Formats: sequence, structure tokens, C-alpha cells
Amino acid sequence: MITAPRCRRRLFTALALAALAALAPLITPATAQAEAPEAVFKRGAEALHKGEYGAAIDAFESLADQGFTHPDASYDRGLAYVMRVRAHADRPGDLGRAAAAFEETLLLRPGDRDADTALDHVRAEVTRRRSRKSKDEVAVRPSLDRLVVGLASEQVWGLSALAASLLFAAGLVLWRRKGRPHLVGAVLAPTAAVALLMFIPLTWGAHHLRVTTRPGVVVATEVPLEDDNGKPRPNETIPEAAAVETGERRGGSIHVRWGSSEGWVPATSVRLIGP
Amino acid sequence: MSARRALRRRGAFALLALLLACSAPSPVRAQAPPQVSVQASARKVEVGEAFTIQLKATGEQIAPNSPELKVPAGFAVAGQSIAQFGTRFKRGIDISWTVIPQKAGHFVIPGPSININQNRYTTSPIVIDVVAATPGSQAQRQRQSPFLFPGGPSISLGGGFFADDPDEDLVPSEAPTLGLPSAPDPWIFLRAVPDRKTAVIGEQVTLSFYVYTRLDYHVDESHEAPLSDFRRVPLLTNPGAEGAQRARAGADVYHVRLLDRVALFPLRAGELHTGSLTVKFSARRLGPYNERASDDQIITVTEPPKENRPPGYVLGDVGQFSLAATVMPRLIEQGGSVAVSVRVSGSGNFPQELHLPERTSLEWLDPEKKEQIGIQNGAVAGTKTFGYVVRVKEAGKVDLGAIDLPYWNPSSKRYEQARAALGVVEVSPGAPGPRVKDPAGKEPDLPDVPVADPLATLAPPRLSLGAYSAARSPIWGEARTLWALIAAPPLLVGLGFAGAGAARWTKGRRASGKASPAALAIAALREAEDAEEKGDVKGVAAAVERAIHLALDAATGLKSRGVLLADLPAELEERDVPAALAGEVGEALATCETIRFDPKGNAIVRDLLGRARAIVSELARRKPS
Repeated sequence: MITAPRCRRRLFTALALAALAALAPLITPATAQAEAPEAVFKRGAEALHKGEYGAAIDAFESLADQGFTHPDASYDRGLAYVMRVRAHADRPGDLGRAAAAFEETLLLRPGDRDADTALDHVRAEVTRRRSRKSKDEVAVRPSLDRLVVGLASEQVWGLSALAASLLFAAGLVLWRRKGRPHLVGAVLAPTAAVALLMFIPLTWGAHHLRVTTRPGVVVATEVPLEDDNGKPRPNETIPEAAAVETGERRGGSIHVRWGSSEGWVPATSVRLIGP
Repeated sequence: MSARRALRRRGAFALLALLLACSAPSPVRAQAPPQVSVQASARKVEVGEAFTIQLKATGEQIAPNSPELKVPAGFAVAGQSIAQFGTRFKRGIDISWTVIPQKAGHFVIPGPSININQNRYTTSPIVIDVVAATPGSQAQRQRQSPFLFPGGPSISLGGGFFADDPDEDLVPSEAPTLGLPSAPDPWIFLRAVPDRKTAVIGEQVTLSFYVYTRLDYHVDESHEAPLSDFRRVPLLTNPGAEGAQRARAGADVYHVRLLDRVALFPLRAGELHTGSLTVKFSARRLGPYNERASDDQIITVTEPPKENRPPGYVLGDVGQFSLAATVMPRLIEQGGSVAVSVRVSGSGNFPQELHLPERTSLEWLDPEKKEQIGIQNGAVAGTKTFGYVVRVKEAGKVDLGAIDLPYWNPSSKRYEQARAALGVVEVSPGAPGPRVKDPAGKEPDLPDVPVADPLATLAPPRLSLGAYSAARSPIWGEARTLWALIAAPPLLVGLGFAGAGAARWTKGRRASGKASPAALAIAALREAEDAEEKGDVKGVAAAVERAIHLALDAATGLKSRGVLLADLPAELEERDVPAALAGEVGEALATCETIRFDPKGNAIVRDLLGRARAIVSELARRKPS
């Protein structure tokens, strides 16, 4: 049987422990705990839903720092930056960061219409802001080599080259025969040889670009291009939110290609996208 | 006329005398007197707390000597340091005495004096209030240092500015931590000593610069180390005034003086160079303007680990911090503002900005920053206050959220997080309250004007992670595999064609080899041996004859069956067959002819067979002409 004073003492002790547990984080600095990426995403998405874009940006950037890539996380990250822009609390490069996030969404999930629309709107906003200063548009045409190589993926070019190689071999075999097979071989072998000569450079180009370059987006208001000696190229600047192809890193600079222009820019002014 | 000429002559003399008087160096024209001043590092100290009295003299071509400080009872002089500086025309000297009060009270210390150009200059007296030491104070800590203890070992700069050689009796005992296995210079050199060689971005590295000397010197000029990759905080209030120590470098004992000590906070990752402190010394033994540079230290700087890095962590936020926040007022009207003051206390590399709980209905203006940061136990510590004005655009109970400061604690080697909850503000609906001016002096933005905002039409956020499969690398994996696959079919076909051609060629060669005269000659010899075993003498002769003709055909290309036996040796000699061999051939064929028509005994046949073998073998060695 529990007496009343003892019961009160237990209740008091329990309350004191509960109060201590509640106050502990305020008294001592909390040690940061590792959190699963899914939990961080959920926290960020909820913050974004409540309009707490600061917390949302923290959460999604933390995911990116951890190397977690998912088109939905990238999309929400873009929305968080857009929300900060809309709240007039934006920092230089926020539109670029939003564009980078939407570009990443499209890179990871090419058919994402929402991301495509959002990217168009962000780029339009950048263009609108630049047009006040009589500046050029954000988008430029890629150079011809990038355009041709970019028509298909490395896998498509590689498989095409492989097929051309097989047909060329078959054509050679038929060419040695007599009668109709010889005729077929006489047509097939040279045709396949031409196709092979076309697909091999395309495959090599696509492979080289995949290995040596990475897509990126400019996250600074405007970035001047510098040559190999670090001197600014006259009248060559890349606008915010522009999609660029990045290459070699040298110290604090990174080599970028924007349309047919190429040069060096500060590495911090470009956000690399994709895994 | 002559009087006028004499008058003109007198005037010219007077003018000449005046010019000479002006241009001649005048012994009466005195040099500007030297400027002598004195100052104390503190006017109120605790008992046992060291302070410095600094005498400074500057002037043209001054030769100072015999500085003197007479302290009253209750004070002890713990050390004296001297530094000379100057240019070609103006020179100066700084003499610092480290003085330790031993009892409380109000004292007047007579001003120190110095001889300059045979005149003694005495400075004004210094008034010092000495109070009792408080427990744990700097004075108490200093008392533990034998170098500052009254009556303890005194400290002097390289044996004193005016002495020829260091007086080792006046300097403290050796400091083993400053010892070096070898000395880079036999007389004087600089050394930079970091307290650590590895750090994370934002972690304090303490760098000390020492001068090691074995002679009297003065500093002509000095240039600080560049330290371009670090934020630098000086740790010494009076650099160069620290007492000297002794240390062994190689076989010699040097006087070592701390020139400067700075706290460095690395700004980026990598192998960061501190650069060199350069000082030009003058010494009697070395002459003027001897430049020495400290060693360039390399600090390996890394980022704090990415593992467990909390959201919102900013590189460089390293130390131990706590947060406290106040929000005023708590009751406002919609559109009004509150003042949020956040105080960061602790030690380390203080954050440049705080991560704010930004949300759509709150507008945070740029903060006003105030800091009271000093040095505590060699570490940069204090408080930094951020004052914000927050405009609240929605009505009701608005939770301002909390401010988090994640930081890397280098002591515990883990991330920690300081947090200050801002609480709730009650916002009553109605006309916007009075606009609060931003502490930085700028007006808050005007209320939003509704404009068409295309960014408002974006699709809503995604609350869960949808289906997604990461892009795969090409199916062939390595690029080499693809190139091998592409090259394989034409190569295989080419190899097939080449193989078939080679087989055909080999077959033809083999067939032609079997029908060659040489092969047939050997076959004929084999038939001759078979015939001999059977006792067929005629058969032997026929086979031997055939073997020799075939061997001749193979060796010379001569179809010898159509040649008369008598002409054969001559024909063969024409074809470069040695006469002896040609004769052998003729004899052998003649023997065959004979045996065919008149078979003899086995002995002749065996002899014929032996000769035939020798002829065929000999002919086989010859190439056809």
C-alpha cells in the first residue's frame, strides 16, 4: 500500500525529471545526431509547406551535402529558394540556385513537367530582371559539336556504332560470296563502313563529355569569364541561372563552357548538378 | 667719383660677408632636441600583476645610453627590453620595464631617465594605484611564473643593449621547449612556432614568432607575415615586451624573445602557408640592415567531417558557443516590428551571421552587430550580439521560431548546436504599427504592391519522395569494353579471311613440295634400298639411276636423261658442279647402265647404293642455279 506522502514524492520526482528532460536541450548544447535522408526530406518538406523557407533550405542543402539525390528533393529545394525570392528576402544568386535545383530535377527525371515549368519561370524572371539593365538573355545555343553529340545519349551512339560494326562485318562476308549474296555484300559493306566512321566519333565525344564534364548552373548575379591567364575576357559574362558545362578545376576556379564561350570562373559561382 | 666707387666696394664686401655668413655651417645652430616620452600600460593594477613602463626617445643623430628606472619600495622590476628603430636621419629607442607591484596603495613612480648626447633626460612621474589581488585573477596566475616573480630571475634583451656580450647571470635558465637541434644562423635568427600543424576551417591556430640571438641588436624595420589564408587576431597587447628566455640551438645558447603571437583562423581547406615574418636587424658584429625571415609554416587545414554535419552548419563556425535571445515587444499590431537581440557567447571563431528562422510572414532586416571579443587564456573569447528588426505581416499568435547555431567543437571533436527559442509574438490585426528603423540606418521595405507574379504559379511542394531510379551507367560498363565490341566483328572477319588464305597457301606449298625432284630423288633411293633387300639388282640400278637424275634436276635444273652420258660431266661443270662430283655422277650412271644389262653380285650393288646416297646428298646441298 502506498501512502499519500510517498505518492506525492514520486509524483514530484517524476515531474522534476520531466522538467529536466525538457530543459536539458536549453541548458547544454545539443549534440547533433545523424538523421536519415528521408527524415530530413520530410522535415524540409513540412517546413516548406508551412512557409518556413529558411528551415527548408537548410534541410534540403543538408541533403545535398550528404550526397542524397532525388528529383523531388531537388524540386522542393528549388521551391524553397523561389519562396525566399518571393518573400523579398533573397540573397544574390537565389534565382540561380532555384534554377540549379530545377535543372537537377530534370536531369534526374527528364519528364518532370513541373520542374520544366518552374525552370522556365525562374529563367524568365532572371531575364526580366536583366532586361531592366539591357542585358542579354539567359539561354544560349550550344555549339554545333555539343548539339550533334547531344542528339542522343552515349548508350545510343555506342549501340549504333556496334550495330554498324556488325553489319560491316556481315557485308564483308557476303561480298566474298558469289551471286546474290555478293551483290548484297557490295552494298552493305561500304554503307556500314560509312555509318561506323560516323558513329565512332559521336560515341567517343559523348563518352568524353560524360567523363570530363558535368552540368552546372550559375548561382551568382553575373560571372565574368576569364582566360587561362586569369584576365577577364572583354564583354563575356555569364548571367545568373545560365546552364553551363563545367570541366577542369584549378585552385578556386573552374573551367566552364556556355554556348560557344568558354573560360574560367570562380568555382563558388557555379553549382554542379546531378549525382 | 672715387668716393662713390669706394662706397660701392664697401657695399659689395658687406653683401659677400652676409652671403658667407649664411652659407657657412653654423656651430651655434642647435639640433632639434630629442623627444622623450613615457607611458605605463596600466594605471590601476592588482598586487602581483605585471605592467610595463615604456620610455620612448626619438631624435636626429641621437646616441642614447644608461636608461634608468628607480621604483619605490613595494615594486620590483622583473625585466627590461630595448628596441631601436629609425631611418637614416631619425633614430629612436624604446625601453620597456616590466614592473610588478608587491603591495597595495597609491604610488608615484619617478619618471625613468636616459642619457642622450651627454645630456640626461628625466621623464614625468607615473601615478599607479595598486589594489589587492582577487582570486583567479591574472595577477595570481602571473605570480606562478618564476620570470615575473619579484626577486626571481630577471630578463634582459640579449644581455642588454649596452653590453658587449650577453651576461648569462642575468637571464633565466634554459627553456627546453624552445631548444633546437641546430641553429640556422650562428648569431641571430627568427623562428615561427605554431601550436598545431593541422586544423579544421575556423579552428584557432596560435602562431608565435621568436627571435634567437647571441648578440646585441636593434630592429631597423619589420614586416608581418602575410597570413593571407587566415583571419588574424593579435594575442599580445604589447608585442616584443615579453621577457627573454634562454634556449639551446645546436651547441650554442641563445637568448630567445617572443616577438609576436597571433591567433589564426584558417579560411579555407588545403596546405596553407603562413608566410614569413621579416625583420631587419642592426648589430655591432653584423652591421646594419641584416634581414632575417622566420620559417614559412604550413598548416594542413581540412573541413570538419561531413558525417553527422547538422543542417545549416556554416564552414568556419568552430569553437564553443551558447546563444541567448530577447524579443521586444511581444505585443504588436499587424505590419509592426519587433526587435530581436541574439547574443552569442563563447570562444572560437565567432559566426559572421546567424541562421534565421525565415518564413513567409516575417521579414528580417539586416542585423546590427556588436562584439566584445578579447583574449582569455590564449583563446579568442567574448560575446557577439546581433540586433535584428523583424517585421511581422500576419496577425495572431506568431511563433518566431528558434535560432540555431550549429558549430564544430574542436575539444570534443563533434558537432554541437546552440539554440535560442524566440517564442511567440501576439499580433493584433489592424493598421500597421509605426515603422521601426533598421539599426543599420536604413528604412524597411515598403509594403508589397500586388503585381503579377509568375513565380506564384509554380506547382506545390512535394511532401513525399516519389518513385525514382538513379540513372545507370552504359550497359557495357568500361569504355574499353565498348571499343572491343565495336572492333571485334570486322577484326574477326578479317582474321577469318587471312586464315583461309594462309591455309590455302600452306596446302599448295605442301603439295608442290611432295612432287619436287629432290623429294622424288629421296623416294627413289628408298625404292633402291627396298630392291636391294629383295635382291633385285636391276631394280636397284634403275632406282639409283632415277634418284641421281632427279637429284641433278633438283640441284642444277638439268634434265640429264636427255644428255649423253659422255657429255654429262661437262654439262654439269658448266652448271658449276665440281668436276669430281660430276665425274662421280658419270661413273655411277655408267655403273647403273652396266648392271642393267649385266647384273653382278651384291657387293657392287651395295657399293653403287652407297655412292648414289653420297651423290644425292652432295647435290642436295647445292642450290639450283
